[in-house]
Amino acid sequence: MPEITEQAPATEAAAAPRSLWGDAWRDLRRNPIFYISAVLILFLVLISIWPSLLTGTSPYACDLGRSQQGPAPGHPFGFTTQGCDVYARTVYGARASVVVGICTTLLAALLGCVFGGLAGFFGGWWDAVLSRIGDIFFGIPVLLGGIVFLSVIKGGSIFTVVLLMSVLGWPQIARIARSAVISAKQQDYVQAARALGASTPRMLLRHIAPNALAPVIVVATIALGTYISLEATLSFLGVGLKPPTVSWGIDISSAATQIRNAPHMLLWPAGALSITVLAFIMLGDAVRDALNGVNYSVSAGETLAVLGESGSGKSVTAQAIMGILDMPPAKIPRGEIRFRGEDMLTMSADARRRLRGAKIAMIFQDALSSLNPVLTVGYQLGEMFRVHQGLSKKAALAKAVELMDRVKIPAARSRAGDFPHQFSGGMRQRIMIAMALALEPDLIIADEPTTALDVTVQAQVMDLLAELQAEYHMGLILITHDLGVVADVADKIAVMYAGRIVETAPVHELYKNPAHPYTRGLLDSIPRLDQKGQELYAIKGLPPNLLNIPQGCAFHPRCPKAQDLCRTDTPALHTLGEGRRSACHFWKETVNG
Amino acid sequence: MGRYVIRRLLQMVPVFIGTTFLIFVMVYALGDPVAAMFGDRTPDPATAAQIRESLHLNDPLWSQYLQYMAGIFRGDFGTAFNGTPVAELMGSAFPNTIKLTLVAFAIEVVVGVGLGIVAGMRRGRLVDTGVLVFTLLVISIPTFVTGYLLQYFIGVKLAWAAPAVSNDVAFGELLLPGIVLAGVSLAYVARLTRTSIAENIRSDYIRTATAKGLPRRRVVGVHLLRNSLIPVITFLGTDIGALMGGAIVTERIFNIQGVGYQLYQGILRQNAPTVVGFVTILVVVFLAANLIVDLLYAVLDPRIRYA
Amino acid sequence: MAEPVKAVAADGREPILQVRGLVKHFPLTRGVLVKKQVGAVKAVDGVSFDLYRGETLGIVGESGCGKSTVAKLLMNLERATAGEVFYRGEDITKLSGRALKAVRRNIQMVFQDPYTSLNPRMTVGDIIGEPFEIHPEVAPKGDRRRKVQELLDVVGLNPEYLNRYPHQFSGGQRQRIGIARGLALNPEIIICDEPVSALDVSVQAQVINLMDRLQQEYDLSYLFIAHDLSIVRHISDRVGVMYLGRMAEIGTDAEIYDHPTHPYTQALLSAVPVPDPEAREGRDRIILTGDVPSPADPPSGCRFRTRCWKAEERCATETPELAVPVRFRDEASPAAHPSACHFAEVRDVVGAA
Repeated sequence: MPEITEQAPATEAAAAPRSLWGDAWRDLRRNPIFYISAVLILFLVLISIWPSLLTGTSPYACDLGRSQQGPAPGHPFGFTTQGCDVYARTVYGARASVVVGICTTLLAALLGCVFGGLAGFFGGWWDAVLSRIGDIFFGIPVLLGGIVFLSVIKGGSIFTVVLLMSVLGWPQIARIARSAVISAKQQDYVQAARALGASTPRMLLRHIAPNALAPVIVVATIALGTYISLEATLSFLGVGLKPPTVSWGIDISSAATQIRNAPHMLLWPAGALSITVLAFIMLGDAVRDALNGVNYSVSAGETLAVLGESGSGKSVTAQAIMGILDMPPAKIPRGEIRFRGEDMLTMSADARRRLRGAKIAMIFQDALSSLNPVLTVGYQLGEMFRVHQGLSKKAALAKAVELMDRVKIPAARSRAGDFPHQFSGGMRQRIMIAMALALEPDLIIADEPTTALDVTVQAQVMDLLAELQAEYHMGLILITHDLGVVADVADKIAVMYAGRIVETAPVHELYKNPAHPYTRGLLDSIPRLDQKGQELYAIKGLPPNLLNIPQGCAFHPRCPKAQDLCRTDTPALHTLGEGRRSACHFWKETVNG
Repeated sequence: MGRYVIRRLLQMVPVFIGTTFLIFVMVYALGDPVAAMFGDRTPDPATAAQIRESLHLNDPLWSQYLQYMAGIFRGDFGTAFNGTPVAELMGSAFPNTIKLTLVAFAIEVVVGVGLGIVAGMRRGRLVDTGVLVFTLLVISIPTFVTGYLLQYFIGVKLAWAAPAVSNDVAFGELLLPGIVLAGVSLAYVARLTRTSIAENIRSDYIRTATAKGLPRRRVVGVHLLRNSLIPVITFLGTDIGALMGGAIVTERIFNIQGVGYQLYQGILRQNAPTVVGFVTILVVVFLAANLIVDLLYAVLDPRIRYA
Repeated sequence: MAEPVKAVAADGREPILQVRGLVKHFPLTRGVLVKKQVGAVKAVDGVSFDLYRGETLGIVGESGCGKSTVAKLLMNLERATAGEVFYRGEDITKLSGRALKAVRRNIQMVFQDPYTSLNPRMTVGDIIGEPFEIHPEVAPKGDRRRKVQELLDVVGLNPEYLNRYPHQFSGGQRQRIGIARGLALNPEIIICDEPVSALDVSVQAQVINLMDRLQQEYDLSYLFIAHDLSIVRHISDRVGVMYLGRMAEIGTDAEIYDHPTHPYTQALLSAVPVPDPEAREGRDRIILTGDVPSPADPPSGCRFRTRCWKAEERCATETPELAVPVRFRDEASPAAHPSACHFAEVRDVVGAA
């Protein structure tokens, strides 16, 4: 995925305050599933408060003479074995389910937040003791524990059922709360608050709790539906709620044995119960999508809005060449990519696949995430030979070891069986290079190959890359934001801005005499190691959002030389001389300073 | 690795003691085993006292617990209401429940993981929506409702399968109860697999695998599945205990003489040794499954440090 | 226990912060039942330096050298294992409670990651105003809103943005918010831990210029921690180079960059790519071999000896002290600055001279 550094910038005028909760609420309101579940739940809550709104019949007014009879006027769902009105009992049954579900969730969430929160925040002994207590309760499956304990204490009131279910259910929420608190605790903003001298309660309540709450809300909402289902199961088994409480579980239990004679007795309470559970699970799903959606929309923005110096569309272009933009799906609306005279965009998918790795190889920036964490490096290197050359597993491994030797990984033979995370950053990047080199391709595309590395390691890796490139006569496309690295190794340079090439030039000419104001600004804005400069030149403003590229020349809002022409006309890529091109209307003035 | 196993085992000891003690206390301290023996009759005080003495019910609770646990390690779980040793009941009940659990587990793995993979690979398409709606419905309808409905329609109306399971408990007969038992778990497995696949398919190492020129079959089979299924396996492991506990409902519906059936009888007759014995074994199974999952996790994901 | 040294710089300025023998070891534990310590990650292992009023001291080094731990120790976010940090003659490493809170008014921090250092659920006004809530004596209640708006203006953000949330800003703007929060209490010292390394090149320049301006306006002292040697040279008056928990070399920017005497500094400088293709051929490149050793098991003697081309037996047995090397002691040359090497000699690797 193309990486970006700048988020879509807040446009100056618009952008009213938008809190994360507000964002989640907005996402929620756009979700039809939320509306369906909200209407259902509202309805259920209403009838559990005022069941008489829907029926004038009492659920207890029974007439044994009408036992198991079908629908009759005024009794649309028929009668139970005791001769009670099925419709009335179905309506009145909502109260038990809704009350038990909501109360259990609240109590379990309270217990879970307190225990999990304390364990996560204080760690150490608190964590060891509280987590172990949680494990003890977690060790008893809720249904099993419920059956045993309720049968012993001969409960049957809503209060005992709620108490028991939440006592058995809280560890699940506590686990989530604990890890949410731990991850919030490690954030820099908590450190920042401590550095200001904030007290412990302040850090907990103001900084950690609001940020740890979202995942807890998600599990709690989803748990709500399962608690309702659980209460019905317990009542069905005869250990949960007891008559005279009206509960769907009890009615289903007595109806189930009579399913052959009077299926209507089962149908209505079972249907009502299922719809109730469905409503709460749907609410849980919608809430989860909305709360997680906050993160998702940022990363989706990152995928789409490729911008900033380090992500001005270069990585995307490289991936288009590799033909790996299809994960996630992407479209290349026009243009062509020629490799050895053949347009790769019109090739068959299989032919392109065969080119990948064998003729064109790629080195990615983040070697840790770009290598498969659960496979050994020997396997991953050997895979190249097994797939493209059909070597045996053993022969492929031998080749892999040879490659690791080639990129100067010490003790290659024994380290081939190690996993990526067992290597240092520099060694991992060597493995990526070895993988790209495996089949001696004609072209290697290196996407920010050293950005994540320390300078001395960067020097080692660039040195190695240059040496291997010369040895194998490979073409190398180096994608980087580092003007220093470019000056060190490149022959020709293409500068990209907002998804377009704005200047190409041989390396010496570009640095000596840039022909595009963006290039010039970039060169002037970096401090130098070999001289102590004056104030840095800062290109004003921010790189554009690729979803909203300025009209005319994309650089004009930040350009000190911008004229009216630049705001209306997109400049063509003018040819200045041998290998020199610039997409600036005023390239002549720029070159001349 | 050895150190890790030992540590996990040692951590399990307090949890095991705590959990069994909790069950023991609930049943023995809050209930009245002697009164339960006599049902509705009022026991003769002398006899009651004698029984209390013989069952050590006058000792402090922790001492009773120790004696009970000592009995368990000797294979003595006490006697059920009809005088049969609880251990004997277990001998006949557990094989049936294990068979049922195996059938349900197989269905859960094959169908759940299968649906999850299909949906995750085609995220946002029709088949994905279909799987989501299906799992939503399955989760929403409680097991006992699906149980009776399937029994009625498939067992009685269509007569495709026997509505009740015979005493031999053949595997073929367990298909329908297995589907019922697996239902909700299956839906959760499908959802979890879907999320996991959809997340991993966007990862950097999948991009690398594609860039290496691997055929799609291999990208999915070797690189994607292996990583995506790690959380699913965790869930499956912890679910074994839940399945065995959940069998209490399914066994009742299909009249299978398994653990759930015996446990239910024990509860109805308020026979403490039966209840505590069976539940203790189930808890042990649950804890063991958790332990195995932890170890499996460490094997599957080399990034877990054996610290 | 060392007393604060009454050191006075050549130009008569007094140090505002004195660090003496600072050590931070993170214990490594192992054990099935009882955890026993089997070793320690020696993140910081005896670091001393002075920070003068109004100056910028840059600390450079590669990942794992302990520079970020130094920042945390100075902020009391981690407790030092040993050593002292004197602020106005008072050792602040042992402070807690009210006394620590008082010191924190004067030493503030700017964090590296502009995305995680701001609480996403608080408005910008609340984030910048929080220092006033914690230290109510700094600004009376009615005055706070105006103060926050003033701060926003100072760091170059629209004061109207008060009610927005961090995710509505770009990385550079967020870093400005972090700087505003650091300025709120009117501190004397600001510790900057990689403040611009997460930013784009063009945005980096904006933030660096802002920090320069603020230093002059408010007479701030910066401790500027970064791995980018070019930026450190640009902003710093003096520079310290760290390697594996120790200070390898320290001096003015010209002394370090143009006359480095420690082999590690030389290797580090020579590895930095210079954005000038003309310099490509003429440069003296030192490519180090191997990786940085683990701080849990650092080499004896000189920490750098395992990767040093000059290493001799003496380096393994005798730990070189951070002092002006004997051979330069009587010279008035730029080479006469503290360098922890037995075989210190000048080598121009940048190509400036």
